[in-house]
Amino acid sequence: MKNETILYDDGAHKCIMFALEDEEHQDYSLSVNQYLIIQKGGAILIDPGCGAIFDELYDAISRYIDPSKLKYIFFSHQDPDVAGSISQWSIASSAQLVMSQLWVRFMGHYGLMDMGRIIALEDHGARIKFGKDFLQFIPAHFLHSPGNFSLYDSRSKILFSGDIGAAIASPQNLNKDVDDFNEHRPYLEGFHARYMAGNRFCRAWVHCVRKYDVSIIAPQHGSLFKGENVTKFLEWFETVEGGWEQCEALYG
Amino acid sequence: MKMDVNALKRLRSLLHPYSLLYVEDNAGLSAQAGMMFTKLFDTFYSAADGEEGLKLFKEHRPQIVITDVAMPRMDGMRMAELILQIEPDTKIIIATAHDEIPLLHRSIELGVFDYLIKPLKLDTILETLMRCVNVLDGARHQKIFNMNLHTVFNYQNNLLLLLHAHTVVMANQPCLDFFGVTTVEELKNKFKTFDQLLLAHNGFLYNHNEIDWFDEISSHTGKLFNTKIATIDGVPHHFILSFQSIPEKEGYSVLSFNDVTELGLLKLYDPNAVERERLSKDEKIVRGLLEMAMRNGAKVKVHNFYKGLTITNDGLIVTMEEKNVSLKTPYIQLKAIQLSDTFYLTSDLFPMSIEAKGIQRIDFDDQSVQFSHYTLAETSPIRRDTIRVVPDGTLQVTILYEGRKYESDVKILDVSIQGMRVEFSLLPSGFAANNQVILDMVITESLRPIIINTAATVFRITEANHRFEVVFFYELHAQGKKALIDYVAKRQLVLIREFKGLQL
Ligand SMILES: [Fe+2]
Ligand SMILES: [Fe+2]
Repeated sequence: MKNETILYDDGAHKCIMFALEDEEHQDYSLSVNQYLIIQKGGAILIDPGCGAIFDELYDAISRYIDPSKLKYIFFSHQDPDVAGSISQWSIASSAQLVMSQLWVRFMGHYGLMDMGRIIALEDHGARIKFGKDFLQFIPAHFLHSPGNFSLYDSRSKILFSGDIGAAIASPQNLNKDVDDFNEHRPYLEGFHARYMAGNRFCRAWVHCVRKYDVSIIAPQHGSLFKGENVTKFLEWFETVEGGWEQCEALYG
Repeated sequence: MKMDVNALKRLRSLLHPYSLLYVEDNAGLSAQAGMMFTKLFDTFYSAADGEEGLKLFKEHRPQIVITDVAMPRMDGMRMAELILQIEPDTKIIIATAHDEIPLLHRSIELGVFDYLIKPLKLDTILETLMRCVNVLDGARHQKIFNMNLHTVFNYQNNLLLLLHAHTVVMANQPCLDFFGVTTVEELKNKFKTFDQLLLAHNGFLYNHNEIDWFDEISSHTGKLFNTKIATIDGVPHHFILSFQSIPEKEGYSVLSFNDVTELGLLKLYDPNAVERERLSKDEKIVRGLLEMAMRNGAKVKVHNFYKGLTITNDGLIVTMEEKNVSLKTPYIQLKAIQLSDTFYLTSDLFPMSIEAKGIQRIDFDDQSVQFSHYTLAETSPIRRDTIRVVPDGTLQVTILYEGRKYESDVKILDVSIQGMRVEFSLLPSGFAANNQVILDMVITESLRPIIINTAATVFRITEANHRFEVVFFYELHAQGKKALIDYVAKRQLVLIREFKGLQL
């Protein structure tokens, strides 16, 4: 498996994908991805993951930028596979830690006491501008976490979608690219049916995403959707049913 | 009927929020007018007589109705009367071939919007629709304005403006008064050069270098800014500005200005050090800052320290009586405050951080603390980029300076990945700031000790009670850096557990 891929590079702006995992769990691979955006001298790290991969990710990032130069670290939501290493990163960098306001007080459980380091996102999201370009935090609440955001980078046109688009154990996760959407789809279905809150949220998210020109959807687990697969994924995701639709089955 | 494409586009966008009902029994006229109206309106209904018109009105509630008078089944006047009974704000335009005085009187009596003579001329229709839009927009904006006032904190005392994109569409009376205008239209013109009204002041919001004030506020919805604006007589006022977008009305936002001039805070932001030094001890002035935060519902940050760790949470100043200030902040912060008897308050609105003392009472049930002393902290202890911890016995340091080792009589006070504060009982002779030393750190928490060897610079030496405190800075690399990150992270968790477990 490739565990380091440059997704975008125009000289001034660069996006890198890492695929580092906690080795013990490789058999049940969640196929976890971490992302780094470098913009001139600064950088933003996306969903850095659990404490177990901290060392490895730290090294990997160091090959591109001094980790103390990280300006922001973005946590799409509160899960340990996303934010478990927040304490290490708060020590290793002076970055601002960006997350939904819902999770700020819980970060103490991961070993962070200085809530002054956190930028708490309000539900409707926020925008960080750089020159003509921007990073947009797009609401993704209840997909699956109740306080959840996707991140769109207008320069690279990559949408970092967090748990949305996650595929578990798809053969196409091996090279981290979806080659055939229809073959990949069954691996999306199980996860999304159980983890997403309901179709209304899925449609709301797609509605928000369609306002932007997206060339790659980069989820936290599994493979990238590029070009026409972006459209296919969005069309499919609009039809996804989740917890709400299965309420009777879940509660017996 | 022909019209200029741009004018058409413009009118269409103005008419966009509204729909039209057109009632005419002459099929030829109706088809012809229909062609024009579909160009102007997103939604357009047509009916062949008053009865059908009334039915369509009840179903769709269009805001504008244009109707003929003489029609089978129900005439236009009767229909207008019934429509206005259902919805008095409907703009009805009567179109008649007969210019009769009694008909005109009846129209005025009913309260129709306008009375036109057929054949309808394009210019006349467009002009009438424009007037319609103005009246409808005004009413709509007033409604949006009224419905969203409550989202503004303390709105009764503020200057308020409703914006659509960059344009003022509504304002309250205090706002018109302050800017010396009588109508919203005048204010709208004045607002086009609003960037020139925002005066330069240290740390305030105004247009300079790469800062565009509107960009700044619109990309930080809900954030508060210090601004300085002069009255028409040239007296500078200090306002706290906030910008709220209205989520369910795309493009609309509320701009509010809270006048805090009488708190006399402007000079606090002055970079003149001597003056600032004097003011920072003036509790009355500092109290003004706290009051400014309270009046605007400004979130502040509350900071404490526990064995090197910064403990920070949000706080809100809720009441002020005499000297006493009451602050709401979470349980964990109250605990830290109780432990140290002092705390620091910061806010983007403050020129410096505030050191709070004189704790009167901590109420854990109410999650609040009352305090009565406050000064400005000139050198703020909370501008820390890196996390520091007081180490445990598993971290030791040996300092090498000019060929000699210092280890037994040194003690690490706190450590971060960038530096270390060390206490010496005896300072090496000639030891001074900017000296270069070698630090040998040994971490013995696991079976195999980890040794970190680094060059370091003496940053500062201070003396107190015959002990010397030395701050060293260093730059670690690779394994050493990660080992220390790991140590600090683990130590941080231990300290957090220790702090949380403390029984007070
Ligand atoms: Fe998750
Ligand atoms: Fe996840």
